[in-house]
Amino acid sequence: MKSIVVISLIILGVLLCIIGMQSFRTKDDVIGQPIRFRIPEGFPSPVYTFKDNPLTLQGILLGRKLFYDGRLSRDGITSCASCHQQFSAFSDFEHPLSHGFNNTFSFRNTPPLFNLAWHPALHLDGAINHLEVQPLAPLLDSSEMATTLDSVLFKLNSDAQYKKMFRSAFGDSKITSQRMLKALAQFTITFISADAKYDKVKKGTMQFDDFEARGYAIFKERCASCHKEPLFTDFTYRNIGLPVDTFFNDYGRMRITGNPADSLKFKVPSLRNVARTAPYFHDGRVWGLGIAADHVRVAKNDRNADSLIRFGKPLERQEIQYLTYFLRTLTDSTLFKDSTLSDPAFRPFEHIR
Amino acid sequence: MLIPYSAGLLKVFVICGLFLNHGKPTNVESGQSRSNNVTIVFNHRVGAQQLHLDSSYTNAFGELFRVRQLKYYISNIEFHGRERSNFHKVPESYYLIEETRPASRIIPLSIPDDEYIRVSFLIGVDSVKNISGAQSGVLDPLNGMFWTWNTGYIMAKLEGSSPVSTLPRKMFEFHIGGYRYPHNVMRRIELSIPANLTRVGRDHPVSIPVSVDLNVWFAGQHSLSLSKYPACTAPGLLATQYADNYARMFMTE
Repeated sequence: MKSIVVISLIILGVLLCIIGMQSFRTKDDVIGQPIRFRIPEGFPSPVYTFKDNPLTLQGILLGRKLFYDGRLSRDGITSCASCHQQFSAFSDFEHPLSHGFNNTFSFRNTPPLFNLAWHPALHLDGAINHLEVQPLAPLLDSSEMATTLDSVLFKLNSDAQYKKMFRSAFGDSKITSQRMLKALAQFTITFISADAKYDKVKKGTMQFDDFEARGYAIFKERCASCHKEPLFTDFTYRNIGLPVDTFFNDYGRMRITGNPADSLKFKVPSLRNVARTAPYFHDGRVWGLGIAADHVRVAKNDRNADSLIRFGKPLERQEIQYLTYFLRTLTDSTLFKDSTLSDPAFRPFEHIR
Repeated sequence: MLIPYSAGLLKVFVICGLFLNHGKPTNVESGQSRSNNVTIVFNHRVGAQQLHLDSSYTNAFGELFRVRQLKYYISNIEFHGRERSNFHKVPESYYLIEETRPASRIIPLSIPDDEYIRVSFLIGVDSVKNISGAQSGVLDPLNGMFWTWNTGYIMAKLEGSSPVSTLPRKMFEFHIGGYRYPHNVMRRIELSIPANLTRVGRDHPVSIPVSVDLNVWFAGQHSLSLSKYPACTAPGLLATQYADNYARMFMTE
C-alpha cells in the first residue's frame, strides 16, 4: 500500500516536471541567451516591440560587431561607429555635417544614439518608421556608406566569424538582410542613457548646486513642454525659427508628409548628453551650448516659429547661463564608458580621416 | 486497491498527454502539404500586343516608349464565392511580379475546394508590413522595392525610355509608393472569374489568366503623358494618380 503510494507520487512528480518544462518553452523557441531590456525607473514603456526580435546576448554581440565593421561601406573603412562615436554619446564629435564615402557630406548633423526604444520614428524628419530599417538609409546613401545590400551580404558571407555569429544568434548560418538589421537593432537598442547627475538628483542620491537648480527651474518653466522629462523630448516636430539654409533647402518634416504646415519642422531632439554633442541643430550650424539655448530666446520674433516659443514667457539673457549649467547635468558618462557598447577590437577613437 | 489508483493515474497520463502537445507550434503553410488547385497567371501587354522588353510601343498620347522593367507587389489575395459569407483569404500572400522573371508571373495557390466567382488582391504591400521593421523573402529590401530614405515599400515600378522624355538618356522612371494618408497608393483590385473557371477542385486545378495593360498606366483615370511626367519617385499626389491608373490595368480575360 505504502509502496504504491510512493511509486504513484514519484510518477506524478516526474509527469509534473515534464509539464512544467513544457510551459517554459515558448511557441517560437528563442535561440540564444535572453537578455532583459532595461527600462530605467520613471521611463514610459518603450514603443519598440521585442516580440519579433527578442534581445539575446548573441544577437547583441553580432550587432556590435556589425556596428563597428568598416566593411559595411563601399570604402571598407567607414562603419556606423565612424559617425556614431561612443565618447560623444554616439554622435559625430565636432562635425556639423558628417563626411562619408569619397569626401561627400551628409546634409544633416548626425544625431546621438541612446534611448532608441522610445522613438516612434527616427531621423530629424521622422523619415524612418522602425528602428530595424534605419541602417538601410546610411548604408545605401551615396554620401554616407555608399554601398549596396547584396555587396554587404556578400562580404559577410565570406567571413567565417560572421557565419558562426549568425548561427549563434539565429540558429543557422544563413545571412540575410533581415537578420543583419535585427542584430543591429538589438545592439543599438541597448544604448540606454539614464544615469546622469540629473537622474541621480531625481533619485535623491545627489543634489544640484545653486546654478544648476536655477537652471532646472527655468527649464521646467520654459523648455519642458517640448523637451519633456525624462526622455527630454516629446518626439513631435517643431519649427524653432531657424531660417532655411539655401544650399540644402532642407524643409524637414514637410519632405515626408508633403504638408506645407510641416515646413522647417524637425524632431525635438533629446537634450540628454547635449553638452557632448556640439555643434547643434539639424545641420550643426551653431557651436556652443549657450548660443544654441540663446537662439530660442532670439526666435521669439520669428513669425514661423512654434507658438510655444513665440508666446511663451521670454527667456532673459542672464537665464541662459543657468540653463547651460543645468543642461550639463544631463551628461551621462556611464554611456560613454560602457565597454559592452565599445568596439570589440578596442579602437576607442577610431575615426581615420 | 490497485485498480482505483491506476484509474486515477490513467486520467493523469491522459491529461499530461494533452499538455505535452500544447506547446508545439502548428505549422500549416498553404501549398506545402496540399497540392495547388488554382493558379493566377499575369500576362503583361500594351494594348493588344504582348509586352516584350526589346520592343517599341505607342501610348494613347502618340508617344513612343520601350519598357526596361515592370515590377509590382501583389498581396492579400482573396477568393469570393456567391454567398457573402463564403470567401477565403490566402494567408501571408505576398508576391513580387517581375517582367524580367517570367516564372514570377505565375502564382500557384492552394485554397479550399469550392465555387468562387471573384478574386481580389491588393496592388502593393499593406500598411502593417510597411511599419513592422525588417522583413524577409519577397519583402526583403534586397529586391529593390523599398525606400530607405522614407521608410516604405515601392508598390510598383515601371522603368524605360522614350524619345519624348526630358530626362538624362531619355529615361522614364516611376517608383510608386506611399502608405500614409492622404497619399496612400495601395489599391484593391476585384476581378470576376470567368464562368468556366469558377469551380476550383483538387481534381481539376484551375488557371486564371489576368491581363495587365500598360497603356492604362499612362491613360487611365488620369491623363499622364510621358512628355509631361517622365518620372515619379516619391509619395504624393502624382503617385496616387498613377495608382488610380494602374488599378485599372488588370482584367480577367
